[in-house]
Amino acid sequence: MVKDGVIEQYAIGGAVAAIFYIEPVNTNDLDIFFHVENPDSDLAILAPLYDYLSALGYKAQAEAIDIEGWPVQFLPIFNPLLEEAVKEAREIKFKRTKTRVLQAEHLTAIMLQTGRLKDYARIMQFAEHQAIDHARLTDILTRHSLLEKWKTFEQNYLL
Amino acid sequence: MKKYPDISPLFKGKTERRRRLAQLSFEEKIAIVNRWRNLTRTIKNSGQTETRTVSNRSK
Repeated sequence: MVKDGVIEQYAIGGAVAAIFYIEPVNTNDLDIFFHVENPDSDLAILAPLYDYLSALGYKAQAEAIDIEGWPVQFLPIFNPLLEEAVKEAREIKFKRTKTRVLQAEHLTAIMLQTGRLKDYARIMQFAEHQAIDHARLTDILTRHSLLEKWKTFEQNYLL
Repeated sequence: MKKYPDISPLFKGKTERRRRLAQLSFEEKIAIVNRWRNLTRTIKNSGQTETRTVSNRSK
């Protein structure tokens, strides 16, 4: 998709990205954050992507696209934290395919920002598995005005 | 005072297992998730069959 110019840059996020760093967790879908140049202001930016994938025989399934049995949700970057996270994602190999996955510290910051209970639970798993580089995380949290929220989270759940 | 068994070794074992799982390769972890997803699908489908059977019976 990148080669064909449908999306510019992408990275795996959500639970599947978390699995890269911690124990396997059950999940129903695969979240792909992607960047497009000159995005439209609405979700019309998803249209070329859906067209491209449906031409390959993949079918839309609610808000996702079924790719080889996995509902894949394509999410356009919608804030500066995600933009940085996708830009700095790490390149990994899955079987013989190169792909990109968000870094543990960006995932943590995104989960903190999103702030659902399941996000908090996952941050605790990251902490438990010592998956986070704290200096790097502090740097990200500071730049994205999340340090105060982190301190509250840390006090409530990690100390 | 009522006595209860000490199950701390079981919790310790669980923690150890989670640590081992976390150290698996990404491919191995995704394979585990795929197995869970298939299992969930099977359970869901069998539930639907059961529901259909029950609702058919009630007709």
